[in-house]
Amino acid sequence: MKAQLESLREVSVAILSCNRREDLRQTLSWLLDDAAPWKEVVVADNVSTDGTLEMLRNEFPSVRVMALERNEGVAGLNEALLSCSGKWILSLDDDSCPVLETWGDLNEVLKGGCEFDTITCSVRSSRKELGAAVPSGVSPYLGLHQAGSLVRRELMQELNGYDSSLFLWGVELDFSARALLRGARLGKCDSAVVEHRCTPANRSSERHAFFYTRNLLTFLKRYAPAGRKQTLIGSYLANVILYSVLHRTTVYWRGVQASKAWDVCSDSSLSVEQFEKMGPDLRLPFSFLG
Amino acid sequence: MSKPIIVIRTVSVEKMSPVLEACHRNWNGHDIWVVSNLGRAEEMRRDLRVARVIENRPGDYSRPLKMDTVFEAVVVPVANEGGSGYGNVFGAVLGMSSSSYWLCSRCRQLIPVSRGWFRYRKWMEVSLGRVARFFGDYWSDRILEKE
Repeated sequence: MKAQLESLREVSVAILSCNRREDLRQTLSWLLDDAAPWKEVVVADNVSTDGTLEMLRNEFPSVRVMALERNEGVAGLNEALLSCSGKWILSLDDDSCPVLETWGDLNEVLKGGCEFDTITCSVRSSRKELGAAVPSGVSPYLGLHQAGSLVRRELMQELNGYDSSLFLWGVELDFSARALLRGARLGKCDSAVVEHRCTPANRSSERHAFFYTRNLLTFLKRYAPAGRKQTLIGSYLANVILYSVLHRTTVYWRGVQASKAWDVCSDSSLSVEQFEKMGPDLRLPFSFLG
Repeated sequence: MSKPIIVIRTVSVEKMSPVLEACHRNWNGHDIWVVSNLGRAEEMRRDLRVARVIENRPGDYSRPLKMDTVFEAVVVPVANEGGSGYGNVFGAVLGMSSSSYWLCSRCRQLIPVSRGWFRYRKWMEVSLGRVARFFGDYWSDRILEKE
């Protein structure tokens, strides 16, 4: 199957890893088995202490490793993304992996010359129970999934990767907005599946709540349509107040305080149509606790 | 013919797999229907456990979703434990007739609740949300005035 996916030879794979050695082993084993199609596989490691680097050195010598000195979240992934040489860059988590049996349609799209600049795959937590896909091609979709999206190298370099100041969580939304404002075409390919196992390791509800609260408020400050900014931010802050009371937590408040580092922008607003099509889930921060 | 189960897709397609697994285990032999927005409907149809996808428009979850079918169970998945933060969605349930109502906590564990529970939670979050909105708007004005 993989030998037939010729267009993937122009795809670099970039993975961010932190203390998930076994997940990364499983992902790389699948990515690199016989007739691996990829141009290259790059792993950026955020100071893992569980033997990840030794595992990479001993078991996957063909993988290019960037061993970072500090855990700076997505800044580490940017080092990998911006060093990639493929025409396209596939961004994966250490616990996500493409299900290549489903990538035939996407292969044809890439071979034929794709007008889109990003292609988000159908990211699922399990490859089981999947029926055959109806070839879907690539359709417009104003979003991105860091654990399973292809981005043109030129766009990645033009935007200088994800915004590292956001650290993690919500970075895809910011990237999508910046790409849109640059005139990029964002799309999705529903037939191409990426399995994302969502390992519980390193996932903390409180961290998710903090970073999402901060980063989504920052997103609104930067990109909400000019005429709706006040209403959207007001509604968002109302939820901060409401769920701080209901969930008996200060984490949302702390997230809002942390967002003061970013000013409100008036010259980078999305249009109302773009914002509505992006459909950011502004309730997401409040869905981890409670 | 056994009554179907209906699941309101309140979480990402990614998180729906364990939800469907839990439903499939709990109600083996019943068709599973999923309510989803148009953008994700095709992805949901691809899951072999899903017998039917009902497309809804964005924003429809806040209003009761009227359906003629009587269900065996109505299931609302939530990413957290108790469903707090999903009050706006619970209103969708109130238009349906069912033998039972369930929360799928952390997208894995089915917990029986009642129509009254969904109604109460929606009312509480919407009502308190209106009060919070007054303060939220004031706070937003302060932030925007500073810039």
